[in-house]
Amino acid sequence: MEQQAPLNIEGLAEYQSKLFNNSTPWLKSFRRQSFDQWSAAAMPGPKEEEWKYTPLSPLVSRCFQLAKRHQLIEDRQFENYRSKADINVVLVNGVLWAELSNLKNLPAGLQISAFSEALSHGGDGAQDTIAKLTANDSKPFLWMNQALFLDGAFIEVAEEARIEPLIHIIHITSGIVPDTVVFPRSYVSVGKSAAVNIMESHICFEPVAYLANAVTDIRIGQEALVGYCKAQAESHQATHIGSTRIWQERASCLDSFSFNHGGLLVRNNLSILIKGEGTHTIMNGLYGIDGDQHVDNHTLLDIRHPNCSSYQLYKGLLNGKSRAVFNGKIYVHADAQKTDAYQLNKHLLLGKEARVDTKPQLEIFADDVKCTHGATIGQLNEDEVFYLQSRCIPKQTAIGLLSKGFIDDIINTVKSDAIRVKLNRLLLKKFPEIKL
Amino acid sequence: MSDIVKQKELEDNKLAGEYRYGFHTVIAEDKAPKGLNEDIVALISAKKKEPEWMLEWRLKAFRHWQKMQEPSWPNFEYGPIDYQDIYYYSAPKQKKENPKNLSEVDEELLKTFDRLGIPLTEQKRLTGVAVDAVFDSISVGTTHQGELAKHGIIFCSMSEAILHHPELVKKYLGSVVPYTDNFFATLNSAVFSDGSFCYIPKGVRCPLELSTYFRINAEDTGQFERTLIVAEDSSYVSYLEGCTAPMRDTNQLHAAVVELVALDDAEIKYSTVQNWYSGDKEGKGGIYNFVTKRGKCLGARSKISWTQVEAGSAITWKYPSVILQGDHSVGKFYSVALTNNRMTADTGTKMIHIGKNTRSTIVSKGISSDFAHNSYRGLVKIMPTAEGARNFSQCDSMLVGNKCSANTFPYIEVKNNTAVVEHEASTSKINAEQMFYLRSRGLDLEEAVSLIINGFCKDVFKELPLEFSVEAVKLLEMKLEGSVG
Repeated sequence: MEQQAPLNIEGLAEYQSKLFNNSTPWLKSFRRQSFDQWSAAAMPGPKEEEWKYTPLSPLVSRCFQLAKRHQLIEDRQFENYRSKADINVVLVNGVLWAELSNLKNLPAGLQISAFSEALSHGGDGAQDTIAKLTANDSKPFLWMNQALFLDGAFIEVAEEARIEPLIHIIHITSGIVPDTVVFPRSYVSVGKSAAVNIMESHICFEPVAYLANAVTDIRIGQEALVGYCKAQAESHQATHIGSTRIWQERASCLDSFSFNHGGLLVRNNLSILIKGEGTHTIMNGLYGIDGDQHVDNHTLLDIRHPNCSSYQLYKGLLNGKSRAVFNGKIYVHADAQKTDAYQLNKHLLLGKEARVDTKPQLEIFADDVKCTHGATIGQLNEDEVFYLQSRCIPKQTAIGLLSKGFIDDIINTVKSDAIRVKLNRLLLKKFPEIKL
Repeated sequence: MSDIVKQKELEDNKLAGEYRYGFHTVIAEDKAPKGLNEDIVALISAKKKEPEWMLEWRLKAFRHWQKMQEPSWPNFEYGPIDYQDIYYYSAPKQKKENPKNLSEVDEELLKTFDRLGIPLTEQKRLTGVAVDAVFDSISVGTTHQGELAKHGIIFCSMSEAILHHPELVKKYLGSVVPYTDNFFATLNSAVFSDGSFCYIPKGVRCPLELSTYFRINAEDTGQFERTLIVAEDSSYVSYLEGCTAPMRDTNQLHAAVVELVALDDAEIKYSTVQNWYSGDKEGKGGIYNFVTKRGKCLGARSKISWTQVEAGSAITWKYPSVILQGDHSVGKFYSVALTNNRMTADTGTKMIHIGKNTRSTIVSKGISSDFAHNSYRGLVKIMPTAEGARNFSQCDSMLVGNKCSANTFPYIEVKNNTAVVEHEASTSKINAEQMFYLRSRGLDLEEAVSLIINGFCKDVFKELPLEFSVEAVKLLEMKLEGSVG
């Protein structure tokens, strides 16, 4: 406890001892271990390959506060955000609020509870899976979350359950003082042959600077079918550092989408580990950013078994002085024969000082594979803008239309209607002049 | 009878698969003591009768090098290099000191180059190609100097250039790769022994292909040569480089630096066929080829192109780069990297766009077989000043066998919104249908593979000068022999 933590947090010792004392013995040792790892780690600097293009120095000089439990939130905007048709799981500053969520009358085979509750009631099962999943990870922010998260959403989908409505996990940061740090955490386990669509939204309606250190773990059982979307719409002063870890078992199918819209400094780590044969993975993403925003997407697809296929398309629309970083890594192990992996990263630079750093990366150790990747960076076609202008469409609207076209084809790949509608609604704010 | 025939066949086969250039020339050597310190640097400088300013530059580099750390970021591992266990200077002892022309060069040396297929003597040598032959630490001779002088072209060894053209060397040496650049380039700056210097005056189109042939002969030596090519306004030069070394169980370090400077409207084509000894099947021995190559398109509308066929070395670790500083300048990079047995190649390029409307093209083909590792690592950087910059990159990898690996690490950094950058890469194995088609037409396995590989690399081979192109194809065929099927 005497160790100097890599991040300056006020009242850390007190918070930590209280938190640790309230944890179950297993969770306590889990937190303790993570805390030790985190305090031993240094804040990653620009010399580290993984953080080369995303400077964390602005965080180091700040003094952070820890988020308090239960804060009231502004209701009206929030009401617009959630839909009655979905199963809403609402977490405020990392703590599950049953009053705001609709957790009663859940469909058969679906269990949703708070993290702490699941650990105390769920017995060893929940502990074992978490322990198994979190081994061998070496990310300081992940350790930080594991050590200090207050609570989270714990979702289990039973074998062969087909969950029709969308599960919408809404992480709200609210009622905080500037420079607060919050730890949203969720865990989803999807049983064999089950099917489910999950959306995770990170939102904040207050114009305040804070750090959200989010972790989501998803285990996808054999032959299961999962649609997952992470929509990040934090406040425009916020820093969001998220780790999403997904484990895919044999013949499972994942359709994932990462949507980035808010935040000043955003980093998403998406790592998908293929643990069985014949899986299919879609990892798409979109970032529409403006002003001084900085969005960094790091994805890793680790394929260890044969006959797996994957498709990845990330698109970026950059306005103003915004900056995008993309690092997509596909690792094909020697046993993963007959892998078919496709990766593409496209950017549209609208802002004069917008900046892109991209690195699509392939590491291949199996010979009978088909792996391709590509990256493009460009502008709008002047002829197309001219054509629209000649049809009496003002230039700004023409640019908006064409940009919308650029992103529409990726939004349309999202299979779940409920998710697509929500994403379009978020996009509407970006393109107010276009009526959908 | 049949036994004898069989025996002969066996021997032939053995020879074909082995490294043809693996012999060692027994020749008296003039060596500096092992190890590296300021005295050694001074000794090298003194042996070459260098002026004071050169020694100072070397010492500056050496002092800087002592403060540097060996880089640890590459995607491979190599045994620790003991920098104190290397001879930094080794020259063949010649009967006459400073032979004035080739007829005064030792018979043994000339024979060595004959055996390597690079005849230096007047009557035998290739017409149309001028050669600077570098043996361990020194240049043994440069052909066609007279003819080139008629056009005002200077083509000589680096040591001669330092003595006879100090103003040019002073102006351009270290202007592209400064002595502080990286660990191996700094080491080279301190101890470089020889290399080629080439200067093409204004408006001259070099009538011959210029070439340097590097040969490592002595044991436990490191070869550190330095090449500098300067092309004045509107000039053109095509330059070739070839390399071989004897077969040895220990690794030898080759840390060269190549600098190219192209002024307004000038064009430099630099081609390399690298066939250093790559170690045996178990990965024992071979050359560590840690080279810094960089060109600067200083003038407007200048062009620099790198073409390389990397077929040797235990480890190849180099990124021939182009700094596109002049407006409308063009950089090109064509590469075939073939790795077999336990070889490693971590190669690629850097294209730094600074000037307006600069263009660059990258075509990289990697072939990996047996237990080899092949990585493409490249950087395309568009600076804020590079309005209208354009880049196209294509990196394809082919895997032959399932114990090898192919990796791509393309870094793309764009800081100007008028840039258009495209990158594509693929990794696959030899197409089974193409194989079947060729086999059904009566080609045997190896012919079929060779044909497909040739097609795969064609984009790069066609950039090579004709003689080299033929040689490169043969080299690839020889290397891949026995690794398929």
